[in-house]
Amino acid sequence: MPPRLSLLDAARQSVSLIRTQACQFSQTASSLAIRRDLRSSTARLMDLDSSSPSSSSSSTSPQQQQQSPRSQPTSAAENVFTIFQRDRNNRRNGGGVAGEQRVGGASSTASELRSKNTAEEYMRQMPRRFNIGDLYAPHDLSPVEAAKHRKITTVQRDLVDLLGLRPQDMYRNFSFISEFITPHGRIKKSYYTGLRPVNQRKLAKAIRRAVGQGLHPSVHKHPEILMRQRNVAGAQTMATGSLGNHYKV
Amino acid sequence: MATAKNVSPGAALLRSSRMFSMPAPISAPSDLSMATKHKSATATTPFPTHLTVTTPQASRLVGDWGFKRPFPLKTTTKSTLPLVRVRKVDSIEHVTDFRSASDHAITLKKFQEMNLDFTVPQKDDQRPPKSVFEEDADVTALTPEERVKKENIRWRFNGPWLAGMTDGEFNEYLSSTVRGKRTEFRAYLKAQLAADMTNEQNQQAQERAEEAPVPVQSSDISETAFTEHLRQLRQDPVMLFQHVSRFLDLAPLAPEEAAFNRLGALRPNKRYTFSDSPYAANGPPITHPSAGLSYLRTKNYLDNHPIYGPQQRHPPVKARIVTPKNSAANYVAKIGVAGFISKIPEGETSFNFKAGGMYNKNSAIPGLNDFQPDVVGGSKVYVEPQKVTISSTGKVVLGFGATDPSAAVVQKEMVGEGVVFEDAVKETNEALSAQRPMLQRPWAARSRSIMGSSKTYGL
Repeated sequence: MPPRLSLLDAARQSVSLIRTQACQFSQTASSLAIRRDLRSSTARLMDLDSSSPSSSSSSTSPQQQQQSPRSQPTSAAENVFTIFQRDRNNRRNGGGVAGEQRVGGASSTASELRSKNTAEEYMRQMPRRFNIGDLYAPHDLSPVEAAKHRKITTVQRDLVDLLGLRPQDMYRNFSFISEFITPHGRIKKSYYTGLRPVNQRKLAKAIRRAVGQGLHPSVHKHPEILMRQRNVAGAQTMATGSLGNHYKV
Repeated sequence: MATAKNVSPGAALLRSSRMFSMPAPISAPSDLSMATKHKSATATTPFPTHLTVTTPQASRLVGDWGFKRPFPLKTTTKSTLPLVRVRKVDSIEHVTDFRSASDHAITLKKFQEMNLDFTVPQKDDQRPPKSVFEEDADVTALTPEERVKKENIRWRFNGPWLAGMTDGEFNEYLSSTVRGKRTEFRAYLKAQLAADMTNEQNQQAQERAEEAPVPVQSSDISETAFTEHLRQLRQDPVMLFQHVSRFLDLAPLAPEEAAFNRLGALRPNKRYTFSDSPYAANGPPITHPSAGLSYLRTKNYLDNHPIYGPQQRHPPVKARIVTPKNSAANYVAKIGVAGFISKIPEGETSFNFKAGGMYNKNSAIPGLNDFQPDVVGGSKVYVEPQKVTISSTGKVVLGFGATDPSAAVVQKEMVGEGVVFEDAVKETNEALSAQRPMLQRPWAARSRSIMGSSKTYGL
């Protein structure tokens, strides 16, 4: 069994490595010409075991030449143009050519993306988040029901009682306060907060205290909340007014 | 029927009328959907709260449903099945408030067609699940001693399941129920301590081969000794919770075992025992663990097919992909089996397909990842329903698995979606005719079509 690394191959490897490194910095035509024929050192290392070491450096196959854009100055642009033209023809004819994998792949990716967009647009029309154990009848999958789940409605349970909060202690919690004020900083009515009168009074007092102490802005929500909301899309299309597109069940 | 013999005819008539025989609605589901901003008041509730009323076809056509006034024909005669739920028999506006009940009634029918048995929830899926109607799982009438003895079996508790309460509900429970029982609890602890001391005395006496001494009474325990006992209990949260949960009859909890393992390392002589109850992890059901939806005890029976004979598997069920995986803010596909959003099988299956997993794109279920707008009626998939339990909020939690491909084919043929048997017969015939062409010749000659040409005009 011959040694796995022949001495000649090992030597050629190191020489070519030096040549590649030398060519890195030069932009002249001669050095580019050298680089054209030279395969990268990694590729050469991979081919060390192959039977014909001469083929890699001296004779480049015509396929390789066409793929490498440096072989001819205008070939790169030409390749792009032909690919684009084929893609256009394919789209016009409404189908990919059987033999050409690359072109067919490009158009199928485009159509896949297009169908993905369509699917997402449909899914945006079905905003209900189902949980395990939920029951659905045909009516629940109808557009009427989907529209109801899209609207913002009044919370039907007293959140302060449910979560065991003490509103007086929440004067520093700006996300809590922002939840219960309008975009213009007015305290929401109990009709909209869903709190019982005792909790609504406590909440209003907490908000007034926070504003009075200078901990919370009086004419808008807390800047930290506003910064987060800026990322939410669709704010411009919402109905204007202090309460937005509010919908009471 | 409530027609008692001893009442007057007028009373008997009244009692049997719809007016009085309609049961009061049960309380609405207590899940937190009403505490959110995005909800619908008309969405189907997880379980029905009102009685469903039906009427014969002849009566329906004249609007007679047995109530005070006839129902409008325009709304009640359109549906295939006459199913109505009455929210108010007589309202102040002089109308009977009703709406369709076909959602729950037909869901029940679909559920019963699957022939599923309710099983006791289990932690590991290795052993086959046990029916809730088994002798050792279905315990209802219990004496106080049995209550303690069978606390790892029973499903009904007087107290709440603490892990399922919100902070507000817990505070409310503390202030309304627990706080007033302080003296009662001290008496309970004293009685427990007395019982423990008596046990210890008896054991020591037995070791010394003496007669058992006089049992310790609660009144014998001095106040200082009792205070010392309380101090020791406070250092031992597991023991303390055991006393508290038995006193208040709380539902069992499944604590994080890792935390207690660390505690055990600190106190090597102390052994902590944890609740083995099947209802500790997800809470006991609010109804009987079968909820009266199915009284089957097992699904170990064979289905027979008219042509293929006994089948290894039960017929698979067509499930709807309600929400695909890649929709807005949704990371798990929601699949509905017989109208219930069901639990997707765990582990690496085709239902929780990952891009780099063992399932490539070809084996992925169509419509599971992305919504397919061109599928008429929505994307569906055949699944094998496996086990059902009732959750602590009264929801039906149905678990399913991927079905056997051959079982799916057989079921598709059964409901007329595919032709397997006919194709097989045709293939066999063709093979026969190829082997022995002479046999088939007269038939072939008869059925040969006559090709027309420009001269014969097909004659």
